[in-house]
Amino acid sequence: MTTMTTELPREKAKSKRGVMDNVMAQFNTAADRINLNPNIRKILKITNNEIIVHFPVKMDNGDMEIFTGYRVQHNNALGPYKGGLRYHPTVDIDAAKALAMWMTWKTSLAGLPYGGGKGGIQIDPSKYSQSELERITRRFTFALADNIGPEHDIPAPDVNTNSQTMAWIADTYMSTRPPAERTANQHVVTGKPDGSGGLEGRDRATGYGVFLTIKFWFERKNETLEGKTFIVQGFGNVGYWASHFLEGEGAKLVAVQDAFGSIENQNGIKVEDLFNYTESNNGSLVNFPDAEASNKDEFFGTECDICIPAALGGQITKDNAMTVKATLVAEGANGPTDVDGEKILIERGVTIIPDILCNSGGVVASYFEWLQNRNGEFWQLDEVMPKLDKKLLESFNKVYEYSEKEAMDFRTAAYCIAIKRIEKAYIQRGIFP
Amino acid sequence: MSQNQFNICPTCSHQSTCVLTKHKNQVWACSEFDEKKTDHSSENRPREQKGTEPKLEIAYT
Repeated sequence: MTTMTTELPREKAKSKRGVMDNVMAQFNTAADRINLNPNIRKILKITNNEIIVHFPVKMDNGDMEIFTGYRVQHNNALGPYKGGLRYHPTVDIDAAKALAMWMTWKTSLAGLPYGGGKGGIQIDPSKYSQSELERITRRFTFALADNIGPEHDIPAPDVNTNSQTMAWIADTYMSTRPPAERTANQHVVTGKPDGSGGLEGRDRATGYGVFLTIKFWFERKNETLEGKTFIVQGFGNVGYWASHFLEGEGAKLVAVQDAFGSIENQNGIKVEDLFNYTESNNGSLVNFPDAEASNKDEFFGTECDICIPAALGGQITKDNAMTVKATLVAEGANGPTDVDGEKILIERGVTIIPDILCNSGGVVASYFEWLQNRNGEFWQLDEVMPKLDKKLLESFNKVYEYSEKEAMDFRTAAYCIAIKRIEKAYIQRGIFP
Repeated sequence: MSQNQFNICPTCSHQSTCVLTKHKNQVWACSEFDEKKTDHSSENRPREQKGTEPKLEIAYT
């Protein structure tokens, strides 16, 4: 096992590490705005721990392969490290560092007692059988050993990992504890299956959070969602649930884009009808009978009040920001608006609900799962949803009021709040020794 | 340690037809991501060529 601590690079490999550049740019902008204590800036620019493990796993054919796993722990001033584990050939320490730092701001803004972490295994899961993936996961958990733990570092699902992966990690970790402590360690991971300590409503939490932040924004303007039109890029978990809840409040879905194509109907697309269609059409919305195919390159220029990029990053750029018709962009995905695109939108008076606020319902739900396990409780869906309402309203109000008070955009306000919360913890506690 | 392009598109089943982005070299998360479905499990892979030396038992941490 190797443990390192290095400074996050400011300019390294700019052309291919967009996410790292964005995270650092956002951090630096906010740190400058709040005149962040220079010593604390030094702390936050580095990762606390970078763990690399190499571990052997026996394959189905009897061969043994060596795998490399990572866990980056950026900061734990506010509580245990929290963040996903992804299984992908491109996972490496740089990737994990950027995402771990981003988790620190996200958990801080959400007012959770967590820090930020990220990790994974450099692997193409499609090349391994289910039983091999189980052994790889369990051996990775064993290799990480006490570098994770329910009060120290709490992984969650990410790309190519799911509730089953989390169940294997929990089971393996618990099995390595003394018998009397095993069941008290179930909250070593979140995102577990609902029969194994998972949270009811976890599936809809992120999309519900997107819907809530949109609703809160209109309420601040003394408006309702009734009759508002919206477009969604990505009809996966986040896009579907956000659309479901928006429609329930009277808003009208008028255009959708997924990996297969784009559709539009200004008279409205019924969310459940579209969902049922995609379920029966191999996940594709193409040829949905109640809408017309639209130009994929002009999707963000579709006439609407609300634009929800809920698929992937880098979608609203200098090339298309001028065409956006919506007055509100709600970032359901991570990093869908780049720096140039954001500048244009702001100049045009378009409000952006930033990703670290807009899609934070998922990490809040993870916190609820952790609390539920830690307290030995089982929460019903009708308890979970009002708790999400309360938590997200608190976050939204803080960002809204800070942006008004300091005359800054929502994203900068969100980062300022997140960083100030961590700065406060360091100032109150001091630095050991 | 190898340095990789940080990108999930090459292993996505929609890579060749996806309309969401032209920049399929810098996507680090996507709601539409679907792992390519290929059966490469080790049962179907040829076993590694074994040398003639006696097999060593290695203890890894």
